[in-house]
Amino acid sequence: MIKVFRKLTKSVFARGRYYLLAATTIVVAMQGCSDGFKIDSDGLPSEGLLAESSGIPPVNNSSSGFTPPAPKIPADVTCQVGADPGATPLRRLSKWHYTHTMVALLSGADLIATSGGYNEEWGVLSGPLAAVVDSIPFDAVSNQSLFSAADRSVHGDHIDAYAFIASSVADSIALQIDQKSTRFFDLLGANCVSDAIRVNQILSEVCRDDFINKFARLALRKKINDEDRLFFKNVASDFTVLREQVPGLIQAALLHPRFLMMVEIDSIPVQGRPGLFRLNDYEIAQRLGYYLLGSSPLASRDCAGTRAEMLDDAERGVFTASETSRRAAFQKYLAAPGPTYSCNAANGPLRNPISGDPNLSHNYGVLSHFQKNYINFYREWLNPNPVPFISEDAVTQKFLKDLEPFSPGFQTLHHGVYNSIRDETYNFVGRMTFDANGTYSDLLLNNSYWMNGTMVEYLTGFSPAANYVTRIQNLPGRAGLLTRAQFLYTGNADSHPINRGVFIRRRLLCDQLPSPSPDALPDRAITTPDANTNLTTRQRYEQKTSQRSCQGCHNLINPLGFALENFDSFGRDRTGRSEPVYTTAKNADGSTSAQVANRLPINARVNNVYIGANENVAAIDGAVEMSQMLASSGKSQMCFARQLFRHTMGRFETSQDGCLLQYMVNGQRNPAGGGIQRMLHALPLQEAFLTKKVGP
Amino acid sequence: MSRVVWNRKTRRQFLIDGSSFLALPFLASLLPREAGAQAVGGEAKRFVSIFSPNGQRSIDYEPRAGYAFTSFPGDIRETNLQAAFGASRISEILDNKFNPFLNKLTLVRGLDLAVDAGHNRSAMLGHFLTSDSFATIDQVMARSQGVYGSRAAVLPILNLANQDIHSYRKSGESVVRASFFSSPQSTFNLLFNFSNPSTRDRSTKVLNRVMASYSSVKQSPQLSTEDKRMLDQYMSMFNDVAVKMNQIPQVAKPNVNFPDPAANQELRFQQMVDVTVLALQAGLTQIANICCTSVEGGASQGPNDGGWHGAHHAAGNEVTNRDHLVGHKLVADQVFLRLIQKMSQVSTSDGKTLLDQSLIFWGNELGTVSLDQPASWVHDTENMPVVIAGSGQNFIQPGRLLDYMQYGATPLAGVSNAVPAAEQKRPGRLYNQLLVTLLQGMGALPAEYATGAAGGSMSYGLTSSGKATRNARYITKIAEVGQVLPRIRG
Repeated sequence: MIKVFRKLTKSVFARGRYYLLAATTIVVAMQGCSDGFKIDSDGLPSEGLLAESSGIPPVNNSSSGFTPPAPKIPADVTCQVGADPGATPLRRLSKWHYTHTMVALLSGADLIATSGGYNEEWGVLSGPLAAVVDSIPFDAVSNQSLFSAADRSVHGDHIDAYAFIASSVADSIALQIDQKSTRFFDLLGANCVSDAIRVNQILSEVCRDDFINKFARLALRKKINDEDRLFFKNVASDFTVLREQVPGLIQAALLHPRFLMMVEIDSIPVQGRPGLFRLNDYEIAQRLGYYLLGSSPLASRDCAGTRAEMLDDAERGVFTASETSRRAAFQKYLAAPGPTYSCNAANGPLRNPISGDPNLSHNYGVLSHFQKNYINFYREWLNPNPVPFISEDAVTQKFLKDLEPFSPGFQTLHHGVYNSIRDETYNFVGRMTFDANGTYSDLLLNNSYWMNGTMVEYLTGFSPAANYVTRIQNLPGRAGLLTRAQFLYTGNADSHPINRGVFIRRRLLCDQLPSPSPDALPDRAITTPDANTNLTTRQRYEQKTSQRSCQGCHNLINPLGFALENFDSFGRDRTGRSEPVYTTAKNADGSTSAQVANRLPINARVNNVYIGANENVAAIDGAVEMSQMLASSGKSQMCFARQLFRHTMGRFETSQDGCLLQYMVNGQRNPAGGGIQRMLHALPLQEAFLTKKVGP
Repeated sequence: MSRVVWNRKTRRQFLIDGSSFLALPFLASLLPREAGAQAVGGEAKRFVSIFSPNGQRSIDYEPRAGYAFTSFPGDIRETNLQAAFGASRISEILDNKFNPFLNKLTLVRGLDLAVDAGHNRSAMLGHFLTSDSFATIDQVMARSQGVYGSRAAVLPILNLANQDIHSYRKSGESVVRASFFSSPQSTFNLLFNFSNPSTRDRSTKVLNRVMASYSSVKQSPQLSTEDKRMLDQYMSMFNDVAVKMNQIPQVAKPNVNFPDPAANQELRFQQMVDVTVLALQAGLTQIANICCTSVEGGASQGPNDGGWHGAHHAAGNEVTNRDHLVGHKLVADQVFLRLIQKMSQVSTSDGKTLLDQSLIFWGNELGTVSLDQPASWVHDTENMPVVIAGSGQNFIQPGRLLDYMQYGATPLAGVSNAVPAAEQKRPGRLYNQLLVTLLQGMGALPAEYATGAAGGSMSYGLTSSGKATRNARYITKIAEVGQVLPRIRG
């Protein structure tokens, strides 16, 4: 059989389709030899430019990998009562999840001090292991797929990183053992402190089992059974000395599928519903951990010292006992402050009401663990292309100089300004969500700003008395997200209405807009339009995108961007003012300077705006009307729900997820009912969260 | 170049023994380490790319017109660096500190991108646009049978950076930024610990056991077919790691420490270079990328997007222009020059030096800036800065300036008395040819990078109806887009 196989494979090499045909051949050849081990024939997708044509896979990994098929996103989703939810695929931890899980595990097992330190604010590992953990590849996100949690692809770079990190952690533990660290041996447990172990460096069975029972549960996020114990005993049996046994056990845990992926295979079948399963307690704890904390359930602790630990509750069967016990447990976790690795008075939960102390001087960084995790959702959903600096071209510099009122120190503020711009947005969404019981409409319409002095000066030109964060309301002409400086800021004199329009179309309406291919367009088609002293920014872009080949997309994009033209490229309101247009000239010393050549009226009115099926709008004039339109748009509200779904569930919605999506839309609508926050709190109680559908 | 036949035994062993996989550990760990194929045909070639952002100012980076050159057909001008600049210097950035190595350098002018790449860092290595489906050429090299052959590396590509990297890899149909290391000390530990015998022994045994756990999970009926396919891939890739571990060179860890550079950008650059050289020398990798940006502001901290970006787009602002110069000199001296110096001090088994075996490429994502750059040309990608050190085992003949500008064509940036006629930018050749040169110089095969359009190979950024064919500037050069740069091999 082997000879036949080799001969077949050799001829297959010549055709350069080693993976596909060899795998198929293997399956055929192995019938009668094994039932339990096969490789699917289409399991190795193309990696683009690979050595497949040579027929010989390169030795340095990265030649294979897994890429899920492109999702089929339904245009409309309606609730089919009683339908099973969409299938939940197996997925790996995202980079964010992995990093936080590592921190949770190493601190939960009290291994942090032996392997490095950590940064409290974001639970970021620092010290010797930080850079290694950071080698986890970035998740593949795109204009259509915004969320790292939804990236299920895995490639050789991931596996290399997992192997490196596990090896590095193990090496670090081995070093502690070599140094005969007292603390380390204390951590192993009471059964591991005998002189025989310390001196002779041999792991006794009692010590070994003790360590396995303690550590494996934390790492694998499940109830440890005999199969698990046997796995770890086998790992330990491969080594003869302590300095290899314990590091080996830890290394094995960090490479185990139950650590690297969100495995849910211990669920209970639902009678009469093929393929539908009810999650067990540990599986619910796992989902809760990543939903609420962006981390392993091990990350939930309270500052009182009692471990409000999800794994302990899972062990007690709290999540499946009854809805009452489940609800009580969720409330307990929501109240848990963060970060969880050290607690002090400053790290309490964010509970300051809007009407309370106006001196709300903390930024989003000092939030509960749950709130921090949700800021991450907003960060991934709303993050426009960052432009963290101000262009120093002559036109932009002249533009800034002419802004009235103008602070002489403005230009030197630009680094601080950008950080303040970003913080202001996250302050807003955080407070709208967690303090104000805000709804999606509030995100679009509320014109409260929590700004430090830098921001106040930036947006208004007036210097406040102090620089701490204060709440500013009723800034004229502003409302919600679309009038935030972070969204409007471009860093130069051009307001870039196309970028703004694309942002709204993709992120707030969930329309799929392909990026233009420059190869299919005229030369310099996708660069900014040339300067023209007789045209406003809007008119220049209208002229440039007027060709028929451009209109297919720009009919959808331009109106949304042009409606925001009453805000300049630094996010300042220019309603009622004119737009300066510039000429440039060379100076005698070779430098360039700009002068205002013309001032033209600004037009932020657009007509016949297509939103979606049955949602056309006759006219919109300015950012506030745009925001009002989006706030009342069913399509936009559903888009918010879709984005949150993708982030939470780590997959795209299917036509079967209509009920959960509709719940999310309805649940956030009612401010009296608690708005978005209330909906977020109740989400883990929904049937779709507590069950799992297995695909074919 | 002779090809080593890859020993597929371990992989096939894995597959065939699958029926007893649960009962027995994977057998790769039992193979003697010598089972992996050794390097054949002498030293392996190395590739290092250095990225600094925002392009170069022509007046600082390029030699001033007036040096002698020899013309060749096809719009080629060639200058011997030693003869032309040995008594002075190439430029303010490539100053006389480089003079001892003039015979090791290749300076190239007149290479243009056919697309507006903007500030995409990855454009330097061939991922021109965010919408492109092409990975950067280092990723192609890492997967090339012609580059690594059967040599295993701890890291196929060593990426070192402070805040970003210009290497982009394929992820299904997408192309995403590669991961990178930011701590020289941690990177050093990882590289050399991984090749340490006790770590390898432990890791190999652990991997064998771990793969059994994947197989066990895969048995569950609560997984879909696609889920099981995913688990198969995990097993396959972990198997690759196990195989690789037995083939990684066994090297002693050098007695070197890298104290935390903190905000000292100069020290950080030095350490990144030193770790790279150690890794290349030990055979733990053959490909490295060093991305030279800084999280801090100010030229003294090295290249930063703020100051340099502004300087690149605002020719004439002498304050920021000065920042631009100082920042790029930091890269020139602390990275490029330091790499050249260190690699020229390492002897290789064939009597040459590590530098001779290598191709070190310093580039940017934007073209050079002339003094009178019009504001509307702020992101132009003509005359991309290209300087190469080393010869890649005599693949290229160094020691020359090769100028591919079409001097009969209309200047690109307008005519101005401020710029001498001889220095006004003109269209040249397509940058794609540089990428082909580097790929082939490292041993990659056309079949491994060819994209099938515009003549059959290396049509990054081009299609038959693409910008270049519409743009008459390159119409005579399109047919050569898949070829090594003319005259670069001597």
